[in-house]
Amino acid sequence: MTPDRAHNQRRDGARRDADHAIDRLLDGGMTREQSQDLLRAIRADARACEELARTRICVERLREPVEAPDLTDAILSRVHSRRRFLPQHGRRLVTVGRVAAAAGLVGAVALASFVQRHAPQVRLAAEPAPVTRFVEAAAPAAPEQAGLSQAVESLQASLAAPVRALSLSPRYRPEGQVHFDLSLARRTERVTPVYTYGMPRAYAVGAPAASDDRSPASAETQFISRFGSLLVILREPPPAIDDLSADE
Amino acid sequence: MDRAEERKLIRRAAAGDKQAAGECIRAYQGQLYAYILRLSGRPDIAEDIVQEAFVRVLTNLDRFDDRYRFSTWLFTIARRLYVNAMQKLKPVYESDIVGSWQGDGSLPEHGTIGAEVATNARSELERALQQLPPEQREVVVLFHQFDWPIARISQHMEMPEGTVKSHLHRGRKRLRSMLEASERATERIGEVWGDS
Repeated sequence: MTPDRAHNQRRDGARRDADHAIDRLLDGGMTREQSQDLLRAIRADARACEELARTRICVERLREPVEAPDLTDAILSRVHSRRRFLPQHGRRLVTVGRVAAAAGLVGAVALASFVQRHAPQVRLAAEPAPVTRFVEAAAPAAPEQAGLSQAVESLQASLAAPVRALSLSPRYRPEGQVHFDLSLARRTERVTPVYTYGMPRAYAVGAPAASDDRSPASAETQFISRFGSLLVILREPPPAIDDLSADE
Repeated sequence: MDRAEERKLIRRAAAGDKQAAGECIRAYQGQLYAYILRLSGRPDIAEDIVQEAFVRVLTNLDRFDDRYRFSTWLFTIARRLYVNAMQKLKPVYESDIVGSWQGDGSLPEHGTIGAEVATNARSELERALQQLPPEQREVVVLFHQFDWPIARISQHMEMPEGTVKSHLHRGRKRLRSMLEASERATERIGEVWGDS
C-alpha cells in the first residue's frame, strides 16, 4: 500500500467517525460531557466543524413557524353537522341523568343486599332448580301418565302378536301430538294401509284412513285428551314380491 | 398543554362542549397543518387533511383512549389520510417533483432570473424537503420540527428505531447538501444579476 493511499484511508475513516459522532450529537444521543468531548475533538477538523454548523443551521430552519390558516370554524361546523354540540344546560342534564342512573343502580344493589341479609327467605330472583325439583314437579302429572300407560296397554292388546311384543315409547311432536311409531318384523292384517305402496309403508290402527289419503295425520286416533291426539303409525318392511302380486 | 389539561379538555369536548372542541382545534391545528404541509408541499392538501382529521377525531372522541396522547392519535389519523391522498393523487405528486425545479406554481413556468433571486429561504427549504424520499422527509420533519423522540417516530411510522435513525441521518445529510447547492446557485445568480 502506498503512503498516499494509507493516508487517504486513515482520513476517510476519521471522517466517517466524525460524521457518526455528529449524527449522534444531532440525534440527542449524547450526554453533555460527551458533546463537549466531541466538540473539542473536531475543533481541529475544519471540515467536520463546518459540516456540524451547516447541518445545525439547516435543521434549525425547519423549526421556523409555518403560517397556518385558522380552520376552527370550518371544522366545528362540519363536526356539528355530524354530532351536535350540546349547550351547557343540556350537558348538565346528561350528567345529572348519568349520575341518577348510576345512583339507582347502586341503590338497587344495596337494597338487594340488605334484603338478602335481613330476610334470607325472600327470593329476589328465580333460583336454578336441581333435577329433583323436576321430579317433584312431575308428580301431579302422574295420573295422566298412568292413563297413557293404560292406553298403550290397551293398544298393545288390540294388536297382533308381533306388534304387542314391541315396547311403545311415545314421541312428542311440536304441535303437542303424541306419536307412536312401530316397526314391524312382518306384515300384519290388523292394520289398515294408508299408503298403497311406497317406502316405508304406513298403517293406521283404530281409525281406518281413506284409501286415497296419503297423509299419516288422517290416521290419528283419539286416546288421551291430556296429550291431545294420539297417532299410531306402524311401519313395516315393504311387501315381498309374492304379496304385491297377491294385492293386484 | 400538559396531559391533565388535555384530558380535561377532551372529556369536555366528548360531552358536547363546543368551546372545548374549539380549544382542541386551536391547540393542534398549527402543528398538524405544518406537518402535512411539510410532507405534501401543498397548502390545499394540508388544509383538507387537517379539517378531515379533526372532524374524524372530534366525532369519535368517545373512542379515545386517554392513556395515549391526543396529538399522537390526531397525527396518526392525519398521516393515514395523507397516505390515502398521496395514493389517489400520485401522478400529480410525481409531476410536481419532476417539475419542482421549474417553479412552485406561483412563479411563471420558466422562472426569470429575478424571480429566482427573489426565492426566499423558506421556499428553498420546502423544495429541498420535497426532493427527499417520503420516509426521510417525514422522519426529519417529526424529529427536527416537532422534537418527537426516535421511539415515538418509530411507533408512529410503524418501523424499527434503527430504520428511523437511518432515515434521519440520510435525510439530514441530503437536505443539507441540497440546501447548500441551492444557496450556491442563488449566490451565482446574484453575482451574475449584480454584474449585469
